[in-house]
Amino acid sequence: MQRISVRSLYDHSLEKALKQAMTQEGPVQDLRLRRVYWLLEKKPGSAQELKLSSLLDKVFYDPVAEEIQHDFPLFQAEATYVEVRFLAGVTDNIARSATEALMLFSPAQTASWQEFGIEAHSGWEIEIHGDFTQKQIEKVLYQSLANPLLHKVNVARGSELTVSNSWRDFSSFWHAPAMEQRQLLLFDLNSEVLQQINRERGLALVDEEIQTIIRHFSSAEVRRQRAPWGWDGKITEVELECLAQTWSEHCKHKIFAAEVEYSEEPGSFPALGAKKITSLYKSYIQKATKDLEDCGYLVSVFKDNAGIVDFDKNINVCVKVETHNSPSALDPFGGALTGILGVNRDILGCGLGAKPIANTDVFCLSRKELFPSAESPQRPELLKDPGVIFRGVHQGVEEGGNQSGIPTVNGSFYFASEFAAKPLIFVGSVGVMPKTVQGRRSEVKEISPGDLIVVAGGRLGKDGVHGATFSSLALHDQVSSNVVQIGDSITQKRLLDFTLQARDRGWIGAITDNGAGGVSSSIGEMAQLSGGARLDLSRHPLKYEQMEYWEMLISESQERMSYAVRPEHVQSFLQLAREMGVEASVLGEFTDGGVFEVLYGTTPLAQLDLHFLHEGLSRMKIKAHFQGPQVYREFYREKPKAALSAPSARVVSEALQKVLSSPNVASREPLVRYYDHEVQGATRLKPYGGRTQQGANDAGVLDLSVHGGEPGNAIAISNGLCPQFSYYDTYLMAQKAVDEAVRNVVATGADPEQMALVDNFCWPDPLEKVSNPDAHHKMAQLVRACEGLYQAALSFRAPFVSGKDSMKNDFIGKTKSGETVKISVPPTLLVTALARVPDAEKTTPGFFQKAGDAVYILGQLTESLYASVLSEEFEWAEAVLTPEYPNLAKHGELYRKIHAGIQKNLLHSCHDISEGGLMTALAESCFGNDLGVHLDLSSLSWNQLWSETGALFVVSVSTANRSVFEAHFAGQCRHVGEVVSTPEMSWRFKGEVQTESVAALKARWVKGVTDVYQA
Amino acid sequence: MSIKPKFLVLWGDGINCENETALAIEAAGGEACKVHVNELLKNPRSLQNYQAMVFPGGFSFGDHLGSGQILALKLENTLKTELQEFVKTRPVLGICNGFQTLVRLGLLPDADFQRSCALVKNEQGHFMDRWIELQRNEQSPCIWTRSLPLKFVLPIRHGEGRFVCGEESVLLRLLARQQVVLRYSEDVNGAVAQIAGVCDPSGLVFALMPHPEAAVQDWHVPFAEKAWGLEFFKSAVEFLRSEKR
Repeated sequence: MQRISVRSLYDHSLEKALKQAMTQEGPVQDLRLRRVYWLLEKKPGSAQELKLSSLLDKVFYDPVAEEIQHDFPLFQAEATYVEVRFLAGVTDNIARSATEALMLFSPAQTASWQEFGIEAHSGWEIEIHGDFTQKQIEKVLYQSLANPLLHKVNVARGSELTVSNSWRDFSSFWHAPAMEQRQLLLFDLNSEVLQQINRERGLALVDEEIQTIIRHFSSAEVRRQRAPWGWDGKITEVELECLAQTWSEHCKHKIFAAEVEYSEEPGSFPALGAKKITSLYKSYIQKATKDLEDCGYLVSVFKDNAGIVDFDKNINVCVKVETHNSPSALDPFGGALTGILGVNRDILGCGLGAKPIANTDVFCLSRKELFPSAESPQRPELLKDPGVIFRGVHQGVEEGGNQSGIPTVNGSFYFASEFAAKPLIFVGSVGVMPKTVQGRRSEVKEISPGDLIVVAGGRLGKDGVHGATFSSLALHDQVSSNVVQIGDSITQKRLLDFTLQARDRGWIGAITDNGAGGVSSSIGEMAQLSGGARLDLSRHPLKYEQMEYWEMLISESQERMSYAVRPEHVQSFLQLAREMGVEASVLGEFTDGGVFEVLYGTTPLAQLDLHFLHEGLSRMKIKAHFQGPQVYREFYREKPKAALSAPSARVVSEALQKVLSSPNVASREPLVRYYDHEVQGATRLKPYGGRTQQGANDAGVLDLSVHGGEPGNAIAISNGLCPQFSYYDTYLMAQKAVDEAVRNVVATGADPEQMALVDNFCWPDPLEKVSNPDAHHKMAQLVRACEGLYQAALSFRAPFVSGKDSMKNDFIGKTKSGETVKISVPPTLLVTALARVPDAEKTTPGFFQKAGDAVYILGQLTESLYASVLSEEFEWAEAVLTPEYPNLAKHGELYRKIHAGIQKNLLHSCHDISEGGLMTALAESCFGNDLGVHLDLSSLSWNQLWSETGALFVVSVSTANRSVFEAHFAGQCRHVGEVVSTPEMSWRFKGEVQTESVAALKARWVKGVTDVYQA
Repeated sequence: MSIKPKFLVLWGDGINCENETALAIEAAGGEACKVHVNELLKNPRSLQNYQAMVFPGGFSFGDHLGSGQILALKLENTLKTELQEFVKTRPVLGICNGFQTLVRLGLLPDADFQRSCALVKNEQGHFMDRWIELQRNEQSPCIWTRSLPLKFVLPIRHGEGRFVCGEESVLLRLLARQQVVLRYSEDVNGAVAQIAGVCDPSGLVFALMPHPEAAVQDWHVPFAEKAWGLEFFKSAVEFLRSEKR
């Protein structure tokens, strides 16, 4: 038993941050932070055999840059000490690495670090000179180093510890009681019994589903079949859990499959008319893709983990976007980390295995000024500080992407008060795969009866038990810590390296990732390819013994892939895994008996008819009634909006400064720098470029030749998200989201005739219940969004290739004053566009390149200030608020022209106008190379400077090209000024000229988001 | 046509820049052989089949216990004799995490398995990805930088890239012996003397925090500037070709 701690001699950044946070609570004379390692002997004699004491210095510290403390420090009576430990069973990656490091010195070979004779734990020790209570310390630590769901924070006075050190006996802390005999519970097929279990376990089954289960298991034939196991008239615990996971909203998308009865109030919005829709998914999303099948580049859509397209002669490209909202609400870091690692596994599990080449991330969050402070009686008790969520999810995506060696090339942050309900954490990934693998088409999975079920990667634990059903419920005050998971980037990186090697050798018949529902979902789904599966859970390696049968089946423990491997390949497959440091196990075989059988050794646990498991679900019936545009009532705002004087050149400046620093406009660059956006060496257009490296590009562009594609071929990826329009009309919101995503890829040089879209819906619960009085309206909003989306896809001829929905983004809980509060996110749709850049040399940056270039606006100016950043920042009584609906056909025409213009090298820069309107786009165009611009805006109206309802671009054109340019864009362009070398922005407006320094404007723009991050 | 020198490109355990590093070596006229750490350790003598060795960037073992620490322990345990021999005559390059590993191994700055320097967390306290101007020391014996101009840009992508020396005397010695090969034109991470890359006294073993393999094509550079990264690998290929053994 050893305890050591290490402190850096150089890096005190965390110490400083903690000290600063503690100072808010009281005076701090000094604060020291040390990393602690606890080492326990799992097998007696291991420490001696390893000569552990002599290894500690060598393994755990760097004599050049650190100091080490063996055992406990010499406690000082006047100081306060804190220990932060992981709770038992929580993933501790540093401990895993520490164990692996110690194993290097072991004379004996150990199959896995989990089997090693020494058990390591990592944590923190803090020494504080100052007077603080446990409560104050917890408050500070829960904002930074610790999470009550994951950690134990121990606080003690030095004076107490000197007398009696209660921390000395730490060995029992992680000790878990031995597992008693595992039992398989059998439940009677009786409504009350099943309802009760449903409630107690949070299975999220609805009444009708429970009746469906009872009917199925009570049928004469099923009863006869089940008699031999003694299950006649019963359902096993494992079966019920398996059905609940498989049938969860998260896995089966029941709302999108439902029968919907839609009606609407009359009003000034596109009428859809009353109608009945059977499956929104089939009627809109899938239909759009079917209607556009003749585009010729669809390889595999909707049926796999990711959509696959043919944008290159040598390789196929695949794309997937996921959300990880509920986990990120509880543990922002772990939630975002497992989100990004999970979507990477979706790519890895696509076809016969694809390699992730880029990540994207979009966060929708609240922020300090839009959320009641900790002291406020309105503060919802369970919800975390928006700043804690922001920092956590940002660091999670940073760690996941960076450590996996996958560049983060595109993304966004969007702030609104209602995202306090649940942060929306969208994580996307793009992958590439060879067209064929050992002569087989790489997108086709095949499983024959007799093929083996192999699972590789991390071990099973209780982490992530009930993730799928949990995310299918609103966030409540009661949550179980089991649903929290922490990702392990390195275990996953090894798994990824191994999988691609195994794929290239032709050993993978089929593959899928273990996400929601664990092996119950992955094997349950794969079984459909052969017609059945027999799964033996006793062969799945466990993190610890204390797991029930059902927990093993549905645990969502991360970093695991499931494979179908032919018997003749399995030895080589397992051998390669061992050599690459990956644990792989054969768990059974695929069959063709039409049954999903689960056993533990010889004990049968489940016998589920495969057809019933996947098709037995009855179709939900949902009513939808659109009440027309609703007035947006913000959940919370600390300070009222500022007033603005009558429009003038000077007031433009006042407004611009405020808008540029608005968190929805301000530069993401300071935070994007935390992400590696160019590992793998293929990022042609990075998120920010130019001399200053602060010029925003509209989309990420990736070279494909680096990944084995054709020379000079590239793809662009971008996103569109406009939830602020949802309160008016989600039809409009959806069209705008598509339009924005398309605008962004087109601006960088992508071909608008070779595009694929990904849709991600994050909705407030649209199902009727007492706590949801406007359910019909929310459902109608979903219908209208689908309709808008469908029309937009058809208009741009851009098919959907993948998508996902998350339908329960609400919070119901108590405020500090004891009142029940419900917060719902606005209906939100993220559209990701993936498009081909046919000539990789012809990409266009989003910022001015050269002084002397002429500046033009492309597209039709609009007047509405509805949901604009200007109206978000200012009270603006005279604003034209009814939003214009887009003319998509006209937009498409402009986008094709822009693409042709880029091919003719007519544009030096191209930046789309979105949040912040025209003035923002003009200012941003200056920031990349610290160039200035002189503008004449005399012919423009005030509203046109700020409106965000159009499809417009700011472009710069060399003087030599002006006449060709004007002819090319005849009727669609408007000359507004010149790029100048002096870094100043000046404009003539309403008879006056106003000048601002680019540096001053940029300073505001750069600070806006950092302020939110640090709040 | 001369024979292509064989470069061992290490990968596995969280190293993640092996592919682009291999592409750069090939483009420079070398033969890149990606060898998994475990494969190399299974047969340590196989190291002598290569004329040069590259430790690419990445996050070996997640930077846990300190960047490069566990990979260094792993290599030292099994490969120490072979590495000792190798570095006497053959070029070795460490990039980013490779630099961290070489410093932990004590192969830099003096190729004697003694640790005297460290790469600690950036002064900013976090990872960053940005392009930065570097200045090359003309007097350096480094064989990896011979064909580079005096100033050029490369991307840095690290959280622990701040170079420090345990003793002031070590820094003075590195400067005096021209082992400081590259310095940042501005203070980017708090590194002592703005050091970005160092070599051993022979000039064969060299490592740097910036990523030359990510600055191979002009389009890699996010502004109008030439990419010079390929020259590192060309210099080594040139060196190996001109060597007479």
